[in-house]
Amino acid sequence: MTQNQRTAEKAQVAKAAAAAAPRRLTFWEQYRRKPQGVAGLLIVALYIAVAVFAPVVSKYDPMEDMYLADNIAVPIWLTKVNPRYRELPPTMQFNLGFDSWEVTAADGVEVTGWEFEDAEGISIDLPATEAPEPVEGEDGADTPPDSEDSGELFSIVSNVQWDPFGLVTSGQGTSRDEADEAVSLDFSFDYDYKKPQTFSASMGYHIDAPSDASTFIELDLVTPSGKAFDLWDTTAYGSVSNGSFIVDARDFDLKMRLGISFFDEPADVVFSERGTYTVRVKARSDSVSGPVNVRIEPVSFGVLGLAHGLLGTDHMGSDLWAQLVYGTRIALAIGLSAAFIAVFIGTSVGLIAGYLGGIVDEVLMGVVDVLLSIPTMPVLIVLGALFGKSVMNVVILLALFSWMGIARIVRSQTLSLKERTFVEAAKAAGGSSNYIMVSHILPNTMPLIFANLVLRIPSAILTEASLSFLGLGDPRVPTWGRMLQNARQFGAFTKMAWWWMLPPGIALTGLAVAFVFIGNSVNEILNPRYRERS
Amino acid sequence: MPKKVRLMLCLVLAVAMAIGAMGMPGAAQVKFETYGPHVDEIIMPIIKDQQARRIAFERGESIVWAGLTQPADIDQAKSLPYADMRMTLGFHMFYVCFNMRKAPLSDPAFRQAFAHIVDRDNIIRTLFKGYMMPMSSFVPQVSSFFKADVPVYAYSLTKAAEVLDAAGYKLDPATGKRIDPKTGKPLAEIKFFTPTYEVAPTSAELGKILAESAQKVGLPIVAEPMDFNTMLDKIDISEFDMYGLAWSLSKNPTHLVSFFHSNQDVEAGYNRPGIRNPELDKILEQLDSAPDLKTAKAAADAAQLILARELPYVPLYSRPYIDAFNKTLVTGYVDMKGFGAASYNNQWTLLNIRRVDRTGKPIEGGTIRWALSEEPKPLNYATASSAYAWEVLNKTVDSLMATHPDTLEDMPWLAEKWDVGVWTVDQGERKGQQGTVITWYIRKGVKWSDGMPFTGEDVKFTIDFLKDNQVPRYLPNTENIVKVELVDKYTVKVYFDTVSYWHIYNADLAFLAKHIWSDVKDYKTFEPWNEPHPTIKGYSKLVGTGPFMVKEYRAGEFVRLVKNPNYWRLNPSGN
Amino acid sequence: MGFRSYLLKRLFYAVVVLFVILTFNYVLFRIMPGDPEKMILDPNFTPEAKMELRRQYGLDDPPLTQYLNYMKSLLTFDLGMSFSTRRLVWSELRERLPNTIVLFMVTFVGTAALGISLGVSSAANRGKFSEQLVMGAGLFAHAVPSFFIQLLLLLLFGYYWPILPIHGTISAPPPDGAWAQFLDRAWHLILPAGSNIVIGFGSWALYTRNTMLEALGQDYIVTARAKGLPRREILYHHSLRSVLPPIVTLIFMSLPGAVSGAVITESIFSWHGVGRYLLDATLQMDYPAAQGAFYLIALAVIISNLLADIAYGLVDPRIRVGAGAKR
Repeated sequence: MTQNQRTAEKAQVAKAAAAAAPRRLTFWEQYRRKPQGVAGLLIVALYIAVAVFAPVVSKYDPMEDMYLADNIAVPIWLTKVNPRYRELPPTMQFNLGFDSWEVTAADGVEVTGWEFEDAEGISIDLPATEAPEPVEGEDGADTPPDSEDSGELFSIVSNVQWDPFGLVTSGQGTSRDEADEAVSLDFSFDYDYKKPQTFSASMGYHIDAPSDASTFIELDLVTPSGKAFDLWDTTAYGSVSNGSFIVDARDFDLKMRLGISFFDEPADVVFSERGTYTVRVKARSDSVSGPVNVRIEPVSFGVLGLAHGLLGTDHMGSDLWAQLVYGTRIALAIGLSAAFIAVFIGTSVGLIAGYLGGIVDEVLMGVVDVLLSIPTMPVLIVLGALFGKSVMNVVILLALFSWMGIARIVRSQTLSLKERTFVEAAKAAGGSSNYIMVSHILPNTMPLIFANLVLRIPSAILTEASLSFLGLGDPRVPTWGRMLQNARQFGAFTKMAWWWMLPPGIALTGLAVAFVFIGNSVNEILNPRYRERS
Repeated sequence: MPKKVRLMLCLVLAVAMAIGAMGMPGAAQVKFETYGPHVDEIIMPIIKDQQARRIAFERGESIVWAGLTQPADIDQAKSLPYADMRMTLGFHMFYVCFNMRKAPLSDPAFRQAFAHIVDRDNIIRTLFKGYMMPMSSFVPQVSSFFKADVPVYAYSLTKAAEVLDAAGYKLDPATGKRIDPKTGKPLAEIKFFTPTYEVAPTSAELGKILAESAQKVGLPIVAEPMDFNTMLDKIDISEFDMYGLAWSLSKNPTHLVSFFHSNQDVEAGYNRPGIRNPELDKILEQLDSAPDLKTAKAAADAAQLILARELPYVPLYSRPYIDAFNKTLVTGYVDMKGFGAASYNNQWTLLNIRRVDRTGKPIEGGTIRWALSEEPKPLNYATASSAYAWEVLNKTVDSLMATHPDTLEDMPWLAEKWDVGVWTVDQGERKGQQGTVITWYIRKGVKWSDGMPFTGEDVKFTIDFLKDNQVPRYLPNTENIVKVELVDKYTVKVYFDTVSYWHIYNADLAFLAKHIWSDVKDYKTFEPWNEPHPTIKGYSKLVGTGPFMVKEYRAGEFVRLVKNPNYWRLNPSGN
Repeated sequence: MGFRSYLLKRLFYAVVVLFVILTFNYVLFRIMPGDPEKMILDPNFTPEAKMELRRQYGLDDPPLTQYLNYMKSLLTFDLGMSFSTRRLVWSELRERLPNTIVLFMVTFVGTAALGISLGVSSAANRGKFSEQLVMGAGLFAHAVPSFFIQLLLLLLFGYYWPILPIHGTISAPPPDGAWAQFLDRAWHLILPAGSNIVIGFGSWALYTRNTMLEALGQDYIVTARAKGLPRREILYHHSLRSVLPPIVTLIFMSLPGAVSGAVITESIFSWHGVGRYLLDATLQMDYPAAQGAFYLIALAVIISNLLADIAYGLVDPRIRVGAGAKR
């Protein structure tokens, strides 16, 4: 039986079948009947929705927003469910403008509001002191320095910022009696949680004073039982413009100040009680020649939470939910683009090899054979390390090493198609090779290509995740593989932070399963042979 | 409003005391002794996976966890009730380097302004969770050559702006950038190279932080993360504006000479900033060729003053050594300034560490498990270059001088004493000039781990071997050595062709046993741990004079070290 | 085309592939940014020391000479000296190869045995639990990231419920006695090999099942069934025999995949093997080591592909009798 006869016969059979059947079901009608396929589509749709509306679904940026809470904070809802995590503090941040403070001022001291950017700062007018005595107990280090130094290029302001060991001020519990303070600002807040790890305070200040005046400012934290911890203080001479400071529980100088070791947590000392804490700013001055004006910018005081958001935070205090959500975008982008490129290359090569045949076919299939024999993962590892770890490179590499299977399938399909009557007819009508390949053969291989495209997507996503996990991914892009890698590297295990490890793995699995479902369903419809088998 | 400025003196004399006085409670500490060891065996499991290392410490599969750097590791270790955390300052330095060959980086005012925008506290707190030490000196704080009273530049954007204004770099209100007073145009973009996020995420992040800070005062600095090798290439040919990298320094200030002397301002030289200051050169030459420590100290002090003014680098921070011990199982480890409690340079911990029983009392003998994070290959004194190999090898060698754990002074060890003298060079290029001669008086009764005596012959053999074979690792040690003379069996004279006190460190090496190494044909492929000892069954050719010897090495799995039965300091009498 | 010419053609392909991989390997490691000398240098090295090192590592020769030397040395397994350990790369690989082979063999035998038997049984019992299991496991194998499962197993059995070793191939130090040492090794194999089997058996089972079903639908089976042969006999005697050839091929074809898996498994379980060596060397830019490991892996894959082709040729009657062998 010749090829032509066979085709003709087949065509006849098909015609008869078509006539017998009431109506051929459309692809979609068939697809709708596959529960797997529908489930797959729904899942993919969900992922796409999350990817598109990522900024709505998550209010934080996955990489830029750091220290939203402490490192490896637990999800908020877990504190309600699991007794182990009950009463962990959330992040608290106070920005304390003029209205927030309760002011206690000595006679003659005037405390008013002061416009500062969009908030209101505090302006304190301290009167000139009457007794021109030097401050007791202060030695020469605190006297105004020689003016000749001011000409030096490398001299610095009288600020105790650069003092790693807190030795210069060593203000450990050395605050004066309350009576001594000209002014004291109090802000109280309730704290009814387990003790935090990290807290911080920062403040900017300006002093207008005669050159012989010395001004003292101090920031205390007063515990519910009334213990006052001097977190920071300074003695400034004359005027200061744009003075500022930050104290943070992670700073060694604060640890030194509190008399604890490098490995101890200041919060263990300062935040060990529950109840009403008070942030207190105190100021006074010794100024004979005239009044002193101290302007304090809104003070910020904060506690980094140990519970945060839907999925807690990573080792840098970034939001894990945001990483998961934005990871969807990247996973879809990587999967789709790698699969499309691979299918494009594979289809082109398969079409050309199958249609042209001969030496072209030999060479192209030779290339396919060679590439198929190269172990993909090692090549990707080596190339990934070589060409930099950008997502773009990974996509291209993934595509370059995964088109061969498609090329083979398309080629064999083309081989059988080019013998068909309609192709022969087109050839006889003088159609060019390009024309025939694109308009006659390609459309007929489409179902096959589509099924392959869908099945390539999950494998591209999983391969990229493996590469990221091995440390070959782009560190600035929050992929799911990278989340898992970070979880492994930065201590999610020993903290049993399953909320860090499970979600990316499950998200990966869900997406891959969905595409496999779709691919299988499509295959079942389009390739009846496959249907018979399952 | 007069500007009140003053030179701040950094009072660091009390730092060491402060750190010591913080009182980190450990297990019942034993007195520091100069003899030992007190344990029979050290098992070093090789655990490459970071997370497996954490779990191993938690499961008691490692008792000593040395060299913690990651905040996650430190946090985890310190959360364990049985962990004793030790911290000692180190010789590490992360710095920002300026290319002083280019304007405006050639302007001291510009560099000083940059120094003012560096917020070390913030960097340390956000990138290292506080487990890092701020550094602003050119010599590590623990070194006895560190000069405390030099100017430092505190973080202050206001101050930075003032310095720039004073030097004529006015802010252009239209662009927000500073104007170059020489050209009248806005400053061109200044690139700040750092390693990439992949290689060194913290350095890359740091670049970003510094650039943002600089932009706030109108300096157009942009961070440019770059492949590490490409970056080094560019630095070698001075094609950079600024970069940030780290050095690992030593207790001696000789690095100042290589980093800042104008004769190192050549391609691939170590004077990367390209500082050429005749006054500094003179002082550095004095430092390099100092005949004694006093001269060296004076020169180092003077150099540090100039450097603090010139600022070819802005040092940022220094990584301390952080080690964790399971205090329910061991005690006796010694904090060594600059070297850490469990670093491979700390021989005192090796001698003093011991097991404790259930009641917490120190006992003799027993096994210690000490995690290794990488393959310690090759266990060959001549070729080993990785810290992991030396972590094993250093437990098997003793040197001629030891370093005191508190004062970092040189102590007699395998050498009972030594003289540093001067001679007239009698051969080579520098014939007729002055050179240093060092005389070692080797202690009698010291034995190799296979029982053979350690003598001056081994010392002479080692130096000759390394010099004749041009062993790359030891080229810096041997390049100035003219000859080695054996006066008698226990007296060795080493002749150098230049005068320098530092040569004594060049002449104190990890010594090779002559009776083993004289038969080695190719030192590069020699694998002493794989080859059986010529006479003693069960021993390998890895023979040293140190407190331990390698009994077994299973690549990828573990190293088993046992107490050296022939060790010369097994008991106080020294025999 | 007879079997001989088929064989020759496959051999020719293998050689071409080898050549391509070698060249690719050479080019790759030369276009790495920067200079390889950088990573062997110490800040204390003088320019002379640098020169000496360059000379020792042959970095000063012209590229073509380097290429020819490289080809010659790789073919003789002279893989050069590792930058980081200063040892011969071949010694390093030889030391790791047994571990990788053991892990691979155990994984492989376990996966294949479990997968094939489940596949056969599910083909025999359609619609029963075993079929559901096979379908599920097949999906699992395709859709779950292997490293994720391994991480979870590690967390579960290494930390949360610390009963299994989590790193290395033996205890440090191993127990005394051959039998105890064998058990110790087996003990360390449980997690890495077990996790690989759990992940991998599904695709084998699914493949076997599908091939079986296809075979069961063939005319001669239908005939056998019509003749009233016992079900078991049909299943095991007739259809299993007909699905053996594709399964034999699959055995060899699965090697490249196993290699990829080895990199991840060895890295998660700190397994002292070739895959982990490749990863470490690449990340540390230890060119000779990475090159050597890559070469060894590629060689293993090429050989296994060749074996697969030969096996395929031997079992496929069309090739054996000399019919057209278009694949």
